[in-house]
Amino acid sequence: MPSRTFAELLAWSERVRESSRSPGTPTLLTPPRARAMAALAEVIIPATDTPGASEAGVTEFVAALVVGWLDDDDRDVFLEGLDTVDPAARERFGADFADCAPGEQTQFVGDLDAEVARLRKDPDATASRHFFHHVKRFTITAYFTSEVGLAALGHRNSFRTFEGCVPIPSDEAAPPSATGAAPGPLPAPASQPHATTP
Amino acid sequence: MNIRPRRQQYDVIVVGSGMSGGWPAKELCELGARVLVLEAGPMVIPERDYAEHLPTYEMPYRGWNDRKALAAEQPIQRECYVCDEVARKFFVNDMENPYTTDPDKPFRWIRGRQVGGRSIMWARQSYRLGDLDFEANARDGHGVDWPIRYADLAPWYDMSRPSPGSAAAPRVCPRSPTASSCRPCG
Repeated sequence: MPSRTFAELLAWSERVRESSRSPGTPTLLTPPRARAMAALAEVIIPATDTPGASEAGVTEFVAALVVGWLDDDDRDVFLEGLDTVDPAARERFGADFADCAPGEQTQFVGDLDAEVARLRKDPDATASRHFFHHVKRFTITAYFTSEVGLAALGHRNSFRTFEGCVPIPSDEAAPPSATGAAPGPLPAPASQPHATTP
Repeated sequence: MNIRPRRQQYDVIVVGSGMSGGWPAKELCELGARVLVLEAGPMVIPERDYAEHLPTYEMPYRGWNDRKALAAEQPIQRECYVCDEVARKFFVNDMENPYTTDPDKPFRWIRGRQVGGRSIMWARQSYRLGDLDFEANARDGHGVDWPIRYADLAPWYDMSRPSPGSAAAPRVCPRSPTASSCRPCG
């Protein structure tokens, strides 16, 4: 009789097999999607006196998330949403989103953001099911885990200069004696310990 | 399979090279015993294999982890917080290493197969127990008094100090007796 753990393992392997079946929709951050994603990110965090999101490796991060982090449902929501960006921008402004004027891009992103903000207030809606929820979250996370983003925050990566092996003063390097390292006097224990001799 | 017997005779065979196996193997070697250590995994070359303390921007998932791979290959190992996108290579693949337990006694078996075993995934701090630790329950009148005190353990602490590469301040406070410093990464 297999235990629960083994049954769980079998269920997992079944799920793995399931997920490796050829999906109906393309599941990768294709170049057009990456271009839209990068342009959206740069509007969310533009270059000012600090670098913008375009220097934060957003598309590399998102490409990884699409493959290995998002579950299948959220991945589809996200990618299908990205696919609507360029057609919507063409309809509204006559160009792919990345080619729109800065003012048009800001307006476009502002409307998406307002839409997600509205969903967040709606108790019957799930804002995380809107693709722009992911776009914004990924952008912000990519930025503030990036070299330029961390630098903008004034963060110093101390591990880059961590010295694990340093000279030790000779008095500290000497092996301690048992008595020398023993703690200071303490009140007598409630009962006598049975001393053992190693 | 035809395995030719080897002439080498061993005094001791240690199975597993982690904290429990590696240490006795070292001590026995130093005492002159002929020791054979069996390990199911590869040698770890620190300068090649260690990836700790990477800045987030050098991690593909920026610390969010490749969740799908962890779920598919390491559903048990990922329960250990250390098993992240960088360190998961030091943990076994649960699909290749299934095990069973009594259904009423589930057990998360965290395993690492490499020379050094799970000590490879271990880090941070370990403190000597002091007399306060051994006496606390007796002072409070709880349970059974420990049969030993710090003085009983101190020589063994001294002996073991250099091996794991623990660095230590000469003395933190009387309640926390310490060894003196030695090189980390030893």
